[in-house]
Amino acid sequence: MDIQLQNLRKTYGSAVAVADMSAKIPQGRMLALLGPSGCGKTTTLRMVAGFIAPTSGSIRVGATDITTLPAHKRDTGLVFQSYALFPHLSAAENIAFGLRRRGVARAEREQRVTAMLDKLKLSGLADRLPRQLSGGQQQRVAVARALVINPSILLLDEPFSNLDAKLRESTGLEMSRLQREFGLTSIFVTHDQTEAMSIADTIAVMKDGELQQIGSASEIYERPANRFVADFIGRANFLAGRILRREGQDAVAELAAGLEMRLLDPGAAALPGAQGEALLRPEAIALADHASPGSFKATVEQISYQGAIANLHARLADGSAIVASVPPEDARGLAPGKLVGLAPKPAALIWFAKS
Amino acid sequence: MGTSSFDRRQLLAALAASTTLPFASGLARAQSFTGRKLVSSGFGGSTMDIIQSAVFTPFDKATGAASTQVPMQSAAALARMKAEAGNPQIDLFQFSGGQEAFAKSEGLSQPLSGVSRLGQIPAGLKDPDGHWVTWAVIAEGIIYRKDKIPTPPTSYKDFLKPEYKGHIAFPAITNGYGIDFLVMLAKAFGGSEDNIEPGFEAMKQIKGETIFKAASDLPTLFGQGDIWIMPYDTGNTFKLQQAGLPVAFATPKEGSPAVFITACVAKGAKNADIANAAIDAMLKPEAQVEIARTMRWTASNPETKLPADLTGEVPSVDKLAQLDRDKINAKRASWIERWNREIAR
Amino acid sequence: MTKPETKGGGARWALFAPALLFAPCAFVYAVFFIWPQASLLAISATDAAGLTLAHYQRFAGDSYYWEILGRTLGLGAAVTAITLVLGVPTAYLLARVQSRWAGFLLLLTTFPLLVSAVVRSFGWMVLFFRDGLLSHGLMALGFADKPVQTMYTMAGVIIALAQVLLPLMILTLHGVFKSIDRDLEYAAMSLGARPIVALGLVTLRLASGGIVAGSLLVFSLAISAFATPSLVGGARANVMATAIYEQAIELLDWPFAAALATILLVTVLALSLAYGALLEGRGEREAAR
Repeated sequence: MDIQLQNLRKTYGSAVAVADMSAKIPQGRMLALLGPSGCGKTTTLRMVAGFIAPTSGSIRVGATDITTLPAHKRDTGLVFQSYALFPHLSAAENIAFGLRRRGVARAEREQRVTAMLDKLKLSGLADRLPRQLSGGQQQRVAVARALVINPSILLLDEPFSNLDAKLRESTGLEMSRLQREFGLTSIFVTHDQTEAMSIADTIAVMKDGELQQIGSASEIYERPANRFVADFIGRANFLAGRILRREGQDAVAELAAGLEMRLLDPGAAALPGAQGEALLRPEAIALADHASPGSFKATVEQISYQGAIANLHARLADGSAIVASVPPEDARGLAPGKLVGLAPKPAALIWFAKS
Repeated sequence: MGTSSFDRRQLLAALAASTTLPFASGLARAQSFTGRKLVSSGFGGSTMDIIQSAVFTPFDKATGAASTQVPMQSAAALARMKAEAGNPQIDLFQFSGGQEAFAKSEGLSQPLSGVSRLGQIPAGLKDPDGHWVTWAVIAEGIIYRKDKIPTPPTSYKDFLKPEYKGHIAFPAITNGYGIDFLVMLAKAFGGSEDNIEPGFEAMKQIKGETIFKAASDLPTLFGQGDIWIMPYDTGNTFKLQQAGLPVAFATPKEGSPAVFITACVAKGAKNADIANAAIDAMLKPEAQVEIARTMRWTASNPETKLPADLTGEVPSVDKLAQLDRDKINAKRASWIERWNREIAR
Repeated sequence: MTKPETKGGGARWALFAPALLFAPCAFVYAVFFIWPQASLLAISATDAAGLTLAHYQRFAGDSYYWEILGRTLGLGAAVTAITLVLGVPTAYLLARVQSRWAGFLLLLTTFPLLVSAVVRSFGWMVLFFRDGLLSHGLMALGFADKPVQTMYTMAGVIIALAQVLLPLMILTLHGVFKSIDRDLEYAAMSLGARPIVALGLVTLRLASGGIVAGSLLVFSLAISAFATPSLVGGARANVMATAIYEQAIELLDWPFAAALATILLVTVLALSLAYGALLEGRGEREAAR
C-alpha cells in the first residue's frame, strides 16, 4: 500500500519539530528521510508509527486515514535504532511477540518464527537472550520481529547506525532486498547520505523540520535545490562569485576572484551584478596545466590517496580552499606547493544566489 | 585510675564545706570550676530552657563552669545511665518519674556530698542515704476546659460522669501521670497502692476514651482533639494557658499527687564536684522562686518565700498528697503489662 | 561468561583488588551491624542462670505479642500496598514526562523526607483529631455523619507512614523506569500490544526487580518505624518497635526487648527472602519458557 503524508506538522509550544511535510511513497518503494540530527526526520517517522500525534496534517496508508489511529492498530513493522529487543525474552520469543498479540495459533506461530529465523540466518540462536547476541545478530532479530507480522508498511529508524562500517553496507543491501521481496512500502530514517542513496528509491532531505528537497538520489545529487542540500549530500566546493552578464538562458559569472565561467541555466534571478556561490563537485574537476584557459589556478597543499581516486586539496588565488577528486595516476608527480590548473567539467557549475 | 584523684577532690570539697559552713553563701562564690564542663540530663523543650536560665546560667556565672543539658525523657535517661554504668558521660541526672530510686538500687548513683542546703529539705523529699534530692515538686490534678465545664471538677470520680463521655483523655501508664491517675482512681474507689483493682475497674469504664503518651500532645488534644478534661499538672496547665487555651486546674479532693523533680549524681561521674555544687544551686530559694514563677512548680525548699502573686497559683509543698513510690515502682512493670492488655488493647 | 584467569601476579591482584575494595564496607558492617545484632541475640538468649529460651517462650505463649507482631506485619503490608499503588504511576509518569519540570516535580515528592518524623507527626495531629481537618472534610463530603478520630489509630499510622515512605518508593521506581528504554514500549505497541499490555508485559515486567527492591525497602522501614507509630498511633497502636521501646526503656527488660528485636529481624529477613524469591522466580520461569 502506498503512504501519503499531507502537510504533516508537529510543534511543541513555539518550537517547530516538523513543518508541513508532504510526501508520497508508492507501493513497494522506500523513502529515506535524510538530514542532520534535530531535523525532524525521527519525529516524522514516529508520527507515522503512531507514537506522536501530529499537530496538523494527515497520514494515509492506501485509502485509509490513520492520522488518529493508535499505534497498536497500525499495521507497521518498526526497526529501532537501539533495536529495542525485549531483554527478558529470547530471540524466538522476541520474534513471536507480535504474532502472540495477533492471536496467531501456536503451530502457525512456531512455523512462521522458524521460517523467519532461517531467512535471517538466525537458526541456532533462537533461545539466546538479546544480551547474548552480537550487534549484527540483534539487528537481524529486530528486522525479523518487524517482518514476521507481515506489516503493510515498514519503518526503519537508523537501523544500521550501531553496526560497524563493513557490516553496515551488506546489511543495508540485505534490508533493501528483503523490502523488495516482501513488497513493503518503507520509510527509512538516516543521517548517512551514502546509506540513503544506496538503498532508498526516493530521498527526502530535511533541515530544521522543513523538507528541503525530495527526489531520486541522482536528482538530489546532481540538481540540489539549495545550498544546504548541495552541501549535505556528497562533497562540495563552493566558489563565491558575481553574475557578469546573461547570455540567453545561460549566464557568465566571475568566480573566485578572477575567473569567468559559464553557468548553464542559473535561473531567472541570476541577473548581472547578483552575488552568489557556485557549487563545484570535487569529482567534476579535471587536472589541467596551470596556464590553460578556463581553469582555476591553484596551489597544491595536500594529496590524499583513497585507492580508486586521489583527493587533491588546493588553494585558489583568492585564498579559498578547493578539493578535486582525480584519478590517482593524474595526481602522480604532484607535490605540495606545485601550481596546477583545475578545470570544471562541462555543465558542472550550479549557481546558488545569495539569500 | 581516676579514683584516687576523685577521692581527694571529694575530701577537699567536704573539708571546705565543714570549715566554712557558717558562711555558706560565701563558699558558693569561692568555688571555681572555670574551664570545666558539667553535663546534665534535661527534660527537653521549654522546660529545659527555663531550668537552664533559672538554675544553670546563674550557676555558671558564679562558678565559671559550662553546664549543658542533654534532652531526654526520664525513662530514656535512666536507660542511658544504665548503659553507661561505670563510665558515665552524663554527670548529673534529673528525673521526673521516680527513676532516682531505681538508679540508687541499681548502684548507678552516688551519695550527694557538699550540698549545703540538703539539710533544709524535708525528709520525705530526699533519699535517707543522700543519693538524691527533690529540688522541685509538680502538683497533679485535673485540667479542664472552662468553657465546656462551667463547674470545676472536684474528684477523680468525675472522670466517669456521662456528660464528659467522648471528651476525656488520659495518659498511658508508661507516662508518670498515667500511673498516678491509675493509683488515684484506685484510691477514689476504695483501693490503694496495694489494691489497684478498683483503679483498673474504673479505668476500664473509660478505656474507649482518648489515650495519649506524651505531654507534647496536650495542646492539640485541647485544640483539635475536642478534649474537655484530663488528669495532668499545674505546670502544663500554665503552659496551655500561656498558649491561649481556656483551661483551668482543679485540685481533686482525693489530693494532688506530687511529681518529684529530683537530681542525683552518676556513680563515677568525672565532674561529681560540679554536679553537687549545681544541685546545691537548684535548692537555692532564688532559683526555686524563679521556677515557681516561670513554670508553676512547687518549691521543695521550705525556706523559699514566694511573692504574694504566686502563692495562690502554686500549691505549697506541705499541701500535697504523697503516693508510695516504692510500692508503685515495684509493681509498675506488672501494671503496665496488665494495662496493655486490659485498657489499651 | 567469567573464565578463571590464567595464573600470574597480575591476575592474582585482579582477584584480590575487589576484596580489598570491599573491606572497609565489610568492616563497618561488622562493627556497627553484625556485632550489635549478635550481642542482641546473646542478650535475648541468656539470663542469670545462663542460656535460656525463656524470653522466646514468653513471646510464643502470649497471644498479646502475637497480636503485636501480626499488627506490625499488617502495617508493613498496608503501607507497602499503598505506596505501590500511588508510587508506580507517579514514578512512571515522572520518568517518562518530557518536561523541564520533571526534575523539579521529583524533588517536590521528596520534600516529606526533609521534615523530621516528630514535626510531621504534629502536622498529622492537626489533621487527624476529632475536631481536625480530616474529620471535618469527611463530614462535609458526606462520608461520615459524626466526627471521626484518626489520631491514635492504626489507620492514622498507616496513612502517616505511607506518606513519608512514598518518596522512597517513587525515587526507587523512578530510577528503575528511567533505565527502561521507552522504545521497548513503542516496540511492543508497534507489534500490536495495547498501551496497557505493553506496560505490563514489558515495562512492569522489566521493573519487577526494582519493584521488589522498593517494596522491601518500604516494608522494612514501615515495620521498624518507631516515631510515627509512637506519636500518631499513641497507646493503642502498639507495634513491635514501640513494644521493644517499652520493654527496653520503660520496663528495663532488656532480654525480652532483645528477643522481640530478634523475632522482628528474623521475620523481616524471612519475608524478604520469600518475597524476593517469589518475584524473581516468576521472572526466571518466564525467560526459560
